[in-house]
Amino acid sequence: MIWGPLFLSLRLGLIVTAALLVVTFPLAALFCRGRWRGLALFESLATLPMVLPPTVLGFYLLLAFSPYTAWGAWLNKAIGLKLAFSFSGIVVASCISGLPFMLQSLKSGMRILDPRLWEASYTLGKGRIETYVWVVLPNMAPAVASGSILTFSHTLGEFGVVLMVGGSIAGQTKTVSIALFEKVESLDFIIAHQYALVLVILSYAGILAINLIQKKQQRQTA
Amino acid sequence: MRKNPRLLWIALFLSVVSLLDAQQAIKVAAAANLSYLADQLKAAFTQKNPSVQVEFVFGASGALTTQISQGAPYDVFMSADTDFPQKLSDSGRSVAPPKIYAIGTLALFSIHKLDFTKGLAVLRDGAVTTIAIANPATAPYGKASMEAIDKAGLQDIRSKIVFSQTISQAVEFALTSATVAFINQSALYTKDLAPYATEGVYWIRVDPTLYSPINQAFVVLKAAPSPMGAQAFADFLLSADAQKLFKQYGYLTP
Repeated sequence: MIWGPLFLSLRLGLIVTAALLVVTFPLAALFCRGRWRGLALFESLATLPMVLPPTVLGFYLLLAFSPYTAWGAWLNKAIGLKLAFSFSGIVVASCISGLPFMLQSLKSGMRILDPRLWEASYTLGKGRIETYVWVVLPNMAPAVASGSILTFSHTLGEFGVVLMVGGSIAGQTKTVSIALFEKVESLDFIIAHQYALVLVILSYAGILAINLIQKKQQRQTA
Repeated sequence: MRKNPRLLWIALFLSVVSLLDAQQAIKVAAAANLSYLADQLKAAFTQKNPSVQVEFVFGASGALTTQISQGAPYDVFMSADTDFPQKLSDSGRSVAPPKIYAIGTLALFSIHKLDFTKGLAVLRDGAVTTIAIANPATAPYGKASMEAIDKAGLQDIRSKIVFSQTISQAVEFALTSATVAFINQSALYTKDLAPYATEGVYWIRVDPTLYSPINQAFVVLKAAPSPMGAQAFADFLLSADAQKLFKQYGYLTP
């Protein structure tokens, strides 16, 4: 009973983190190394979910996911994607709200790398993609780690968006923060305490890990 | 000002007087199904009691009960059932036992022109992909909806159900992403749902024999910050004026 929502949240967190790693890495490269001035507009857009109230996001997604709007119907028909009240829906929603956390981490990790790294790799005959995957990525491992932890923890705690687009279906969209909310509302404080404690421990472990990674990095650069 | 300091004193005096004469403001914690007629209730009440301001706070009845038992500063609690206020009364948080002010009615609502001639069995249709229902653990209308589904022998449609936190979120789901929703009939009398007011086309009344009566009761809370205003509001809820309003919004009256 108590494990269902927990496992669902962990699964959600892992999928969202993995997806964001893949999607955000090229974006971070673009925003970090790109020279085009208009990039700032897009970078701001990608960072927007960090400050936007989750309810704003939830409201728009609820409309965008609806199978009764032209866009939602197209998604449903053309690629068979059912986003309203489904696990895939909260994956997409969490990816949008988690994007800035991964992006900021990867960007700052990439920014502190020595530009000569790229030059050396190109001089030695590596292509652009090879350079990013085999040279840049391994050199910013700490940033990748802390970005992933941050994104994972944030997804675990995502509440507002999931509340608005999820529909609290057991095994599909009833994540641990939703389950906790419902337990509190129905006065079941014992289970609520169990969920809350697990979340505190996981979140603390995550923040601790990030801090340890940063300390280690400081010692290495010092 | 310097020429006439008396003006200053008069201004000061007036502002003190206005403070003393400050209107009482009561906070009413109300089940979400009441949000549709709250403005009307407020208007009718303040007409009779101009010195008492009313402020509504909406939520699922169970959620409000949790807040109240944790010391939320409400004066009156209007539940969507009798059990939640009874709980508060049992734990000594209310002035008197719960009193029923209205009996809620359940409607099945969709903006997609389903074949409602089938009654609840329309939920089996392929066109119906999602059915929004308020969380049965905290929302009495949700509990009644689940009861109706079970009594109608429609257990097989359970996989289509999505849950909302309040009955008004079920209405919202029906307007956006869900095919159909079990809602409070009172929502259908509001301006926002006026385009869908036609019974039989956009909604049907759920057969009341399929669910236990939604006896909505209120309590005046012992911790009420404004006990006088709270009592006046409690009396108003049972008055002919308020009862007429409830009837207008599709409620049955006790």
